[in-house]
Amino acid sequence: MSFFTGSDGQLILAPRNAVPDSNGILKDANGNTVERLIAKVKSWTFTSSTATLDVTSLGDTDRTFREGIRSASGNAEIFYYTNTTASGTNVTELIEFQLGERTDTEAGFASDDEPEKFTLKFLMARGTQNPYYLIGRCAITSMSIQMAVGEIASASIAFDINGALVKYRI
Amino acid sequence: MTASPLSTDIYDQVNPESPFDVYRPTTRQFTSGSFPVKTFQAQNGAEIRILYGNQLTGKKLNLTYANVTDAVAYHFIQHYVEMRGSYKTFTMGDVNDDGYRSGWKGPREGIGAERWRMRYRYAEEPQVQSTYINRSTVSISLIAVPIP
Repeated sequence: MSFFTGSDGQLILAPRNAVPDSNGILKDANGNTVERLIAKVKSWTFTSSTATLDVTSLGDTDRTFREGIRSASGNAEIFYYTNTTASGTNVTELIEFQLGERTDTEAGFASDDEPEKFTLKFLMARGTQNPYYLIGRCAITSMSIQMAVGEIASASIAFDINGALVKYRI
Repeated sequence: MTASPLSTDIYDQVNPESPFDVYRPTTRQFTSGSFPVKTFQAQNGAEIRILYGNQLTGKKLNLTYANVTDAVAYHFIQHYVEMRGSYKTFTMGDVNDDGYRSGWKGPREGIGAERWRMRYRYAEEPQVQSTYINRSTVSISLIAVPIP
């Protein structure tokens, strides 16, 4: 059994309509790899929740419930970093999703039926092992940028995931 | 016309069990009913009351069944149709402590209607709210009236 540390974690960005292959690599309709590593991610968190439907009735002494709607969300803290590479990106692209012009091209909503703007992969990988990952279609629900004396500028971003996870391996 | 479970007419399809005897409500709210009293007040504030009957009437019972299956919700609709809405009166299984009585530990007379020579009828149609796949919340409003 192996443990994972921060050096094994990655947050990967892909376009809204990217589809994972059998290994979880996000690709476009032509089979080209379109996922890009977001640089300088300090931390990420993924949360999945299930609402409960109370079915406790008169005469019961203990609460009983049924499972209801399931939801997932995430957040990340990313250092403010503007350099890019051929296969990588940075927090400014995510910020552009939140602050950019709301048009039907590129950074904006593609249509009213598809509120999610991008695909995110929360990944843990060590060495040559097959990575563990969670892939979801996301929209940013809040974002803040922090700047302080003696600190590295960073952004805190919260996401909601639309629908069920596209693919996961845990 | 005799209702039969074999009838193909949806208005004649009855469930042999009353839903009020089978399912436990999530909430229950009821009143005791009142006597038919008419009050006359004189200009000096003096009051004269006339009692027109010696039986309780208008006992209200509101039941909520939260997050039940859609089949249970339909059972209540079937019962409402069987009673032809607020036309027919019905008993509520006053002899057992389950179903709509669940959780009531006081005397049965406190919650029932038959001992007071009343029977329940629907005050309005059942309200069904869908809450999830195969889950609905049903609200029932009944009123008890004297047996003629």
